[in-house]
Amino acid sequence: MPNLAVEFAGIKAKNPVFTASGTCGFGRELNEIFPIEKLGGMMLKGTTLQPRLGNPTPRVAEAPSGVINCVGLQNPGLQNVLTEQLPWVLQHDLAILQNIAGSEPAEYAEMAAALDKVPGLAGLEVNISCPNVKAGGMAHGSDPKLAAAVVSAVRESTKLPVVVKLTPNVTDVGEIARAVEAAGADAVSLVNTFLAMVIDVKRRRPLLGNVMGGLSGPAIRPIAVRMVWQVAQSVKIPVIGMGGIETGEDALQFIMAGASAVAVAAATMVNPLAPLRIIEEMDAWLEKEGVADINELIGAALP
Amino acid sequence: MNNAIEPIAAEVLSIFPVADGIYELELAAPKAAEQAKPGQFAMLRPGAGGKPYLGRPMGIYDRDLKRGSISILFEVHGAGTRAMAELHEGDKLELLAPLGNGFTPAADLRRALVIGGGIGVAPLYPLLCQLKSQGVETEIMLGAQCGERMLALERLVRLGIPTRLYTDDGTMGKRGYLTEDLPEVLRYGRFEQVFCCGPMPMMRAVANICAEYRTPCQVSLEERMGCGFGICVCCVVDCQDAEGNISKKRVCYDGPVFDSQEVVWHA
Repeated sequence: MPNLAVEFAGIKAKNPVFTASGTCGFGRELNEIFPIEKLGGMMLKGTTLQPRLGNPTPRVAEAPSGVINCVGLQNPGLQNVLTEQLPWVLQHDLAILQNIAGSEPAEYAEMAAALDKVPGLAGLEVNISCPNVKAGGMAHGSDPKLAAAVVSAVRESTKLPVVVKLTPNVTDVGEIARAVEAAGADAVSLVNTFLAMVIDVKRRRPLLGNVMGGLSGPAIRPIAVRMVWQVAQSVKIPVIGMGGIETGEDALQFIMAGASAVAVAAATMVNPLAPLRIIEEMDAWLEKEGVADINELIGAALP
Repeated sequence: MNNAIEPIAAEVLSIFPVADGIYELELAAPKAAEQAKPGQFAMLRPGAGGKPYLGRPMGIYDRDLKRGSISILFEVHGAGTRAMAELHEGDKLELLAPLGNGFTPAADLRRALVIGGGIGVAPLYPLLCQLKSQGVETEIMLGAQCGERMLALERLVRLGIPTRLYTDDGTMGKRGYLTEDLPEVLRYGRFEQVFCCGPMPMMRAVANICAEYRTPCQVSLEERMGCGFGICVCCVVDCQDAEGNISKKRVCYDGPVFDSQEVVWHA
């Protein structure tokens, strides 16, 4: 049996497959379908200081080989996450990262400080890349100075591993990655969704309730692989890769491009068992190729 | 809630048009057939090669425990339903079912009114079967654009439940909207519970009239859906509790059936 266990930024996972934030809630719904312990870990739903109702519907649209969403960070707020969500999910044996989003560095810092005291939490994923919220989100992630300010504020508020989730909607993703590395990030995860939109030609209006949304799914995979490859060469901290992963070989592309772990998002929406199938397929691939340890493949395709 | 649902590759047992652009599709899905409760739905993903990418939610219309099958009714609206219309007997498609919470008739319910509009009759048929076996005195009001699009009639005739029919053009039953007669039906019908599924404007009107006549009403809602099992939070509907607090509930996981008083009915 090949070893699938990975470790990055001090976070240990029994395999490199996570479910990406926004496509696994806080774990309860998926756990009704399969035991979530089978996953390497989860990045839980992006949480804000106060509860958020999110954007008007429609929030989702079909795209060629993918999906566009504009949920807009609907979440029950930090207090509820601390008292209701985390205590439940942390009973399970997998690496749990809490994704946090705010409208200014102080908000991120306040959340990081509150989450710092949660026993068993593996780390934070700092969301500076949501394309669907007006304040914060992607605005923080597309300017290296703003990105660094958020990460510094979080760094000063917690000893937890800090993973920073990057937006692909920038000219040079490596520049942002270097900025957050310098500000104290322990790892980066990428990519969040690509800003996109659909027109409902019958109504002659944008289809989505928030006009624009984020594109994910297999449609974006080659761009995401390219960005992981670039970032892996831009920073020394570990990279977590995501973007349209549907099969074990898709996941291995990201790992060979330099990712220490991967996250599955859109594929889970269309088939809740997709993350498990990806783990099995990776395992079978390593077995077949005679690779004893997944860690041998991290960055294998890098120059 | 959704215990042990598992995606399967379901074989098409039969597919045929029941009206212009409307099809009945029967799928081999023994487990789903056994577990399905009235008002639950299925996510269907018809295409090969990831086209369409997302599943499409469809109310479960019927089940056949002997054949181990479930049936759905669907109307061709866009690329996803067009791909479904092109399915043939023996084809396979990805199926996730049964999903969501169905209708919940009280155990001691005596008189119920079931209201369907257009293709909304589909998830109501299993409910009607249950009400009949529970011995609930039931009446039906059914509306459609025209007689040709009045669906499920053969099944309803077999159930032998008193039915009022309405069409927009008068080609079957009474001409006009069923909501025009609803106040009178509620005034004299002594119904303890209304169940409704149809187009949003019809459900909104039914909900308002039921509120006026203080008759509890369960509605089965529709919204553009991502996953179908609660993780993506795309298919939300505005709800309010007794204190007036607004929340956004997921049609797929918290519904699709809601108490009509809980729903905020936007004009």
